[in-house]
Amino acid sequence: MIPIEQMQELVGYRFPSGAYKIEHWENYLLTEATAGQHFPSAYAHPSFLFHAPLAAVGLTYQEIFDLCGAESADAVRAGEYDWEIFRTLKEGVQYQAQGQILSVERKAGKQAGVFDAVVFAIELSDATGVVVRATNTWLFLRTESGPRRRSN
Amino acid sequence: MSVMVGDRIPVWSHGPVTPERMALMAAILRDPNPIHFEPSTAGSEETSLRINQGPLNVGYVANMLTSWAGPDSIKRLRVRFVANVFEGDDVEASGVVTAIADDSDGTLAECDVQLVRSNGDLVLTGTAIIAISGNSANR
Repeated sequence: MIPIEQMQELVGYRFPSGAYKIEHWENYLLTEATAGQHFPSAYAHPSFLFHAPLAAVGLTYQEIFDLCGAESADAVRAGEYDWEIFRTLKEGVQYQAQGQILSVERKAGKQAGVFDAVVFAIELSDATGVVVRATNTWLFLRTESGPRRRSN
Repeated sequence: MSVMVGDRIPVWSHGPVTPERMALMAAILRDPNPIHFEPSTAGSEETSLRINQGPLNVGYVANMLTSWAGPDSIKRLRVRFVANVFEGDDVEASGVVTAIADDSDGTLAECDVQLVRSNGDLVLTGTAIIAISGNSANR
């Protein structure tokens, strides 16, 4: 198991700066995946609060898994999402991203066993300021405790 | 729209959750985790089923909120995941208004929200802050 001291060195890690533009086609398809309503507006589906910040900083899932010492892809699961929306994301707007790892905490649960809760915060901004802030907690399971088929 | 504390948000239902929508989401997210698109050959019947992505589960709650109050109404959405959704499940998002406040942007409704599976399992729980247009300031 990766030492907690090594994990805690991640606190303060700044993701690469980057940018992202939500295209109409991906907004349409993501909305379709959620079985959501297609509004006649350029507003992006709220689930882009998960996708756009990660895409903007240019990290793949695998790179995040590697950064956090994931034992395997299915030893990662979603913990909590906190999405602050100061203005609704729109298609066709170039958003600048900046973010960092806020905290790492090792915990133990009855079902999950030992896991590290890693909290990421990424902001998307336009020319007038911060548009959204996504603070997501991912759980990295550290022990084998039966079948690990978890969602992220 | 007139909103009062205690109002129930119209339920948003979907089902069954299909592998095709999970695969579409995996492609959009570039999520390589096979639990979302490959049926497992190991484990019990339930653990062999594909598992829905967390952003889809939150998306169902968001769909409920935007269907109720509009596509630009969500100001904050906080959720905690407690269980998975599997292919074949029906899901139901629901919520209730717990507080109403006014700020410079207008009227905001604070809501408790949740998503449950067809067997009654709680999938996620959380809170949302929703901008209410034209609220008649009922408390």
